[in-house]
Amino acid sequence: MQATTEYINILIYLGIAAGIGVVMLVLGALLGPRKPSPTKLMPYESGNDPAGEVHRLPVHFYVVAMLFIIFDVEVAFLWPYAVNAGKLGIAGFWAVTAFTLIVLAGFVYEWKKGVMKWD
Amino acid sequence: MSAFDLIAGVLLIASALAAVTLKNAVHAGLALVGNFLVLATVYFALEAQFLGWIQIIVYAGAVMVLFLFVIMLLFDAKADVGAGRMPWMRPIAAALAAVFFLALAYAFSGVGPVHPLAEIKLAGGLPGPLGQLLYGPWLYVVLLIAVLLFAATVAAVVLVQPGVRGARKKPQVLERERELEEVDR
Repeated sequence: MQATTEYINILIYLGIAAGIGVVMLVLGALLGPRKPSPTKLMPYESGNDPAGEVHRLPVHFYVVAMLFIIFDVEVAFLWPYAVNAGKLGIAGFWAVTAFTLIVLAGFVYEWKKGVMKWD
Repeated sequence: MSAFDLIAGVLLIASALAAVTLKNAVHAGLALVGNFLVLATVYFALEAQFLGWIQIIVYAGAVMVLFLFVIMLLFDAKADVGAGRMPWMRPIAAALAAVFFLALAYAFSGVGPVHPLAEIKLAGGLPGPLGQLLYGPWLYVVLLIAVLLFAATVAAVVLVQPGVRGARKKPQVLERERELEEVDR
């Protein structure tokens, strides 16, 4: 159970960090001058009037996030190998190589498809 | 039951309820992120440390970011999907959820902890001992997951490519695209 108790330190650290952050926000909110006006509340667009709504956004963001999930999962599987590389020996090495090559085939596919090009 | 169990349980249920009830999809997604973070602390407490960190990195860090990307990409935060349609569905859905909860509670009522933590060597659920299993007895499952990830990559690419060979667009889609192009001009 000593592993569990070490995490309490992280909880304390998070609590203190959050507390300091909240104190700074509260101080900023209390001490600043405050004169809201419709002009000040308008979205900033280089001094021009806001140009209305955008009807669609590029799908690239979705693709990048999707590929990030896939390769994030790959790293999640590589990590347990990395700390065990010596113990698992040559059989483990070929196992992790097979795993990596299969996932890498997907990377080659999306590279050839040109999904990562931003234009 | 310790104080941690109580606090974590209340936070888990509250954040899960927020995720299914909040009308704003961004708020619901953020509630789910909170749920995942609390769930990770429960994993830590159950000596599944590696799983806890992966829960934070992959679920809260990657999957929920994708969800929030898509919600904001589609401007769908306040969609309130199907709100006016079939209002009688809501009580039925709530009743079914209650029935499911009661059935689970009944099924687990007589069961104590199946494997009391003290009896098994978990080694803190660290990636070290886990790797011996992953690249030992579970190797075929790991390789199948690699194939699954490959298929997911290909599917993600194919499903968003508008100009895929053989994919014919529906007339409504073509019409909508023409409209959007005119709006852009």
